[in-house]
Amino acid sequence: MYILVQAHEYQKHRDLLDQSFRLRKKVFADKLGWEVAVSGPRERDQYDDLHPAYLLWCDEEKRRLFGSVRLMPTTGPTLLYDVFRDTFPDACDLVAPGIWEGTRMCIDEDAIAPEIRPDRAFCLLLLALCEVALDSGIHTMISNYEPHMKRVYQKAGAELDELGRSDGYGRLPVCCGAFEVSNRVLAAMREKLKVSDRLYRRPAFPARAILEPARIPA
Amino acid sequence: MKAERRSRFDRIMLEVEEADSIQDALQIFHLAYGVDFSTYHLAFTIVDVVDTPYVRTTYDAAWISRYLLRDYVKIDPILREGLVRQLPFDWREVDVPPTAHAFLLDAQRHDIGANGYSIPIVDKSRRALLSLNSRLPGDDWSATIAQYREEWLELAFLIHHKAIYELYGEHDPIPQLSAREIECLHWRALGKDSVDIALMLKLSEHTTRAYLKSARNKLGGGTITYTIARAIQLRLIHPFGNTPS
Repeated sequence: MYILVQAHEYQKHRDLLDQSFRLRKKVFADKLGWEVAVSGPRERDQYDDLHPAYLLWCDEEKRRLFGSVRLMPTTGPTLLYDVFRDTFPDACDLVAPGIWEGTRMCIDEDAIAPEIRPDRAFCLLLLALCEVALDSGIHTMISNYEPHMKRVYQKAGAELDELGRSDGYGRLPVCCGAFEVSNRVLAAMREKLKVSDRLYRRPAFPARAILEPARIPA
Repeated sequence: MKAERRSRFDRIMLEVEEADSIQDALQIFHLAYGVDFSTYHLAFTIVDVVDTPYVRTTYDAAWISRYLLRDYVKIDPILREGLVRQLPFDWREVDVPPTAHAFLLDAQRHDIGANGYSIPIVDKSRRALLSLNSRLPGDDWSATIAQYREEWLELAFLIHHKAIYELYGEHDPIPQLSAREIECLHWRALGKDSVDIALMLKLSEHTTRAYLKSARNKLGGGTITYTIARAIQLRLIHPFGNTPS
């Protein structure tokens, strides 16, 4: 299942979030060799202190994390702009209310094996991300990815423009792209990935002590 | 967005842009979308060590004085969550603690609608919240949100830009536009649409529109016409010279 965690629920999902910080260390520091802020077994940076939203993918019991991605509005301080400023000053300088940034997208390959291959897992997480974004009035996601993922995403029906790429950040260059978020792209992705239902389901509204006035039938 | 709807939205933006005050802007919003009340709340303006919130609302005087008198600002669960959440939210998503039940009953007695939608506004140094209140029943409200949330998001930021301007005047420095934004604006000023611009710049049409939206936001969040006029005035583009450098 996929859950969206914002600052008011960090405490409620602290265990999954902790798994996410540990996974980020494994993926970005150990595997990709990025110079990221590692403290002990976790990777956390200054942007995690700015109350970002996290989209988490986990099992139905919410015990084991499969993958995660961090969401921040481009109108606030953002990571990609800071990272790409030196090499591509214009690459990630899109700032508008409906444009959001998705960073630190990662998959726990051990957790999803052997049922789901890593490439497909990335695409599923991207699809869930599109669903969440569309529900919130977001029309464009700016995100970073490894060069070979562009073709994988495109084959999965995603539409993206590469805005720039940065060398020397890790072992591979890092690309920065703008992803279209629309019903059209969503439908294409579902078809290509053979996913018939929504991946992200918004939790039911909590029960209220005070009920809405009953609706009078016409 | 369909052309008709687009031009209606442009008219609403223009009216909000030209409103004399935030209060008037909120009223225009009501008329356009049929919401019942709205509040713009700018938190933690960084002028002093003291937190000085800036609030404009269309709730009636009786409810405002009640709210202040009872210090509901400390109880109001929408406000509390609205200042930590990042994504827009339906009020029904909010878990209401037992301590806030009396507040909700009181709101109901004052004829405040049962439904609402709040849009967190985050800029480089400030946080604000635009909250909309409605007496529509749940299903109708959900449909209204689904139909208009993209427009509301843009208008929320436009109102925010206006409020900042009202507070700080013209002291905001000249915004930095990226080369792509300048190119897109240049061609837009010369009458090209995003399809043409996308072809010329070898970008998708969607990304071209994203650059134009970004330029609009950086120059105050108004209509494209206003943005182009402002960019020319600030000498960011010279459409009849030769902008792209």
